[in-house]
Amino acid sequence: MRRAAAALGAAAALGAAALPACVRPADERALEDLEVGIASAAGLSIAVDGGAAQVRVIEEGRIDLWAQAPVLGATVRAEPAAAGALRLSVANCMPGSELDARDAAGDALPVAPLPGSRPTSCRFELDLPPGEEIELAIAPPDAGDIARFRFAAMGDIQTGLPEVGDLFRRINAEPELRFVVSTGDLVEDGQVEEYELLLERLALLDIPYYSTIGNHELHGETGMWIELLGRRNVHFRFKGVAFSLVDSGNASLDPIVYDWLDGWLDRAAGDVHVFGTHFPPIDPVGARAGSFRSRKEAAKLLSRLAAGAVDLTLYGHIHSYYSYENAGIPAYISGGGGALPEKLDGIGRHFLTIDVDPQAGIGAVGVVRVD
Amino acid sequence: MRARAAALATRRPPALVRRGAGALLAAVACLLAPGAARAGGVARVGAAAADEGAPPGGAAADEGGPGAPPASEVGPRRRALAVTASIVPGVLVHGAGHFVAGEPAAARRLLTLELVGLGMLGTGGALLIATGASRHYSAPSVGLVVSGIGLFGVSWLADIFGSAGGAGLGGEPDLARHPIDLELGYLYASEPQFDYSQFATAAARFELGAYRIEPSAAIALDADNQRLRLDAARRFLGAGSARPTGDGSRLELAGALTHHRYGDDDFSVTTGELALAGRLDLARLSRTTAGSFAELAVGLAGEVTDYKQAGAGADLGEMLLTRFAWGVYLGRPGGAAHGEASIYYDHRRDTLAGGISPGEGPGSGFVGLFGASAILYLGPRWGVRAELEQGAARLARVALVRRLGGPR
Repeated sequence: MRRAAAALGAAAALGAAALPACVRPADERALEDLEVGIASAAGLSIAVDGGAAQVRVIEEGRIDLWAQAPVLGATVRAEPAAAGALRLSVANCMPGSELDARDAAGDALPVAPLPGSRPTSCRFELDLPPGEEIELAIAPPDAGDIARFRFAAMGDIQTGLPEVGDLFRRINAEPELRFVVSTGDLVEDGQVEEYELLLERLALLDIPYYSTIGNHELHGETGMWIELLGRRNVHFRFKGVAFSLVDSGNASLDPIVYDWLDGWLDRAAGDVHVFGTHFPPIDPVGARAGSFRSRKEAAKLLSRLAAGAVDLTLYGHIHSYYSYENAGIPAYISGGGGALPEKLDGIGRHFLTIDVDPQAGIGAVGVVRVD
Repeated sequence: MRARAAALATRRPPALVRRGAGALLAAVACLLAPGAARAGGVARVGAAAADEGAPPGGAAADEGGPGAPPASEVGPRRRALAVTASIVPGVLVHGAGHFVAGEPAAARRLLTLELVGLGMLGTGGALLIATGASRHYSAPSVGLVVSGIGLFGVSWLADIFGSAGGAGLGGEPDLARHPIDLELGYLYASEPQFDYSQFATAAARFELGAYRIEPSAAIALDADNQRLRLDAARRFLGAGSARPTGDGSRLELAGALTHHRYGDDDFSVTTGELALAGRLDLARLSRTTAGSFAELAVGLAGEVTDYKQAGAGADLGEMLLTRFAWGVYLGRPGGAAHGEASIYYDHRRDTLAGGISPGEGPGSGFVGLFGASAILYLGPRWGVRAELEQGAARLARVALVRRLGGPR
């Protein structure tokens, strides 16, 4: 009996010891977010406010960014040897964005817009003075107008990536859409080739695509996301509306992300706030439980969102369409990006169009069927 | 122990369940006892069948094979080989250890169990894929997947246990019903998402014939968090019921009501649940696996999450309950120390532990919790319980148990 008890005890202890990552599987990912948008090389340095863009290239006279927000702020500095002309390219940019550059005294620097290869490619040239911190602001002209606008929401492309061009063309056909927010699972296995294909397909879109990750971005080359697209936890404001897209790739939020979320909720108090994450905290089909790994954490998150007066929650992971309420907040699951679909639900590939008015709140939510 | 194993070996092949009750458990029992199915359905179980002088045969009567030494006579070298074989290739071919140990009949049963488990897993998985995890078919699909994994795991653990000579440990189940057990304990939770970490726990267990009632409470010592639960069960098969099995096997309809108040987080959850829960004494599988058992429970739960924020209201939800376990009996009833220990998987994600997340790779959002539990009575009155669970949180609990009243 003692042997049996000892063996079971040892097995349990080994099991517990072998699972150190299980309690906080996403803490390293959250910390990596803090490094996004900060880079220096060849006498140039840049820090993007809030990590809202990833620095893809920084070299002599050139900085390339991938935007994860419609409005970007950044500080750039050139050492004396690197002063002079800088070509700044912003991919996944709001069409028509303008660059405002100001020196330490607050005076505007001359900026020359350059033609982009597509609507979401914004390019500028400016002269950087030596050794001075220059404040950059990149935004469409109406970014500060508190006025109604429309955006799209979608998720779960995965194996549908080769054909997602159809869906993106359908999005392009909606003239009022300003950008797409996505709840993740853009790739299936996380392989390099998939990310390359993803970038090719995103280039078909006429508006930017802002996304957090899903569980499938935790397969394969898990560093590709941050390298190419930037933060996994994204927060921005546009025209008086706050958007928070958070990483629930492990069916959970890391405590670091909860701290960020608390701050975002506080800052957006009184404003319209759209929240998105990959896993629905609670699956409306409970027996399936395609949801958070812990029901109590799900309730805790929803309780916080309710306390923060969030106006809309968007989820993916389930490859169908659901409309319901959680904690009194309207909720939509839109996983119709092309992944293996839920059958017998009467809907295939689709995306949502959402009207939002910064003063009146969330307006009409439409479902656009692609197939 | 050997005498008990031999007695079990001469029993009529068992089947745990009558028509329709517990399809999964019935499937397992029937596979273990093909003769029972051939005999026209359901055999009398355990002691009842033995009392009627049932002819020998079935589960363990054909153990070994001509010339094969019984498990207890396996030499140390062969034993070591058997244990090795139970791990490699046993992880893939369950029963490999028993085959090397000279127990081909038991090996075949273990392999059959593995194949049934894989079949259930494959069927459930195929259903999930074919329907895209349809809202209409999720419950049976997920139930099959989890139960299939359970059967797969149990048959492997049973192979290792039997190959290692686990039956020689001499563990036996306590078949007596004990009117009252009282329990006081301490629970530590490693939980980064919530402020609590320490709980005082209290529980009582009342057994009366086929009925069992278990109120329990866990009160946080360092946060505003309280969990109250009332379990109740009606035993249809097994000790204390009108249909005793003569061993640790049992089948119960179990219900529970839970209220969990998260005062610091401004919500509470109330859950009602109903499940069919069974235990199979693995002495029925082979004399080599005597002293061990397997459990499976399947059910449904409904829950109400009540948010305290104005306008948030309450969310209604449901859950599929699936749990499987494998364990061993520790000592003999009446001995100096007696009890049982088990390891288990529970698919539910509404407990303090929640569901496990594997980090990178697949599995997040689907997997429940893993646990290990042991209770050991040191004499007729006092006992100690220990539990470990790993889900989204890691829990450890110890409790002192006091038994009141004599066994029945």
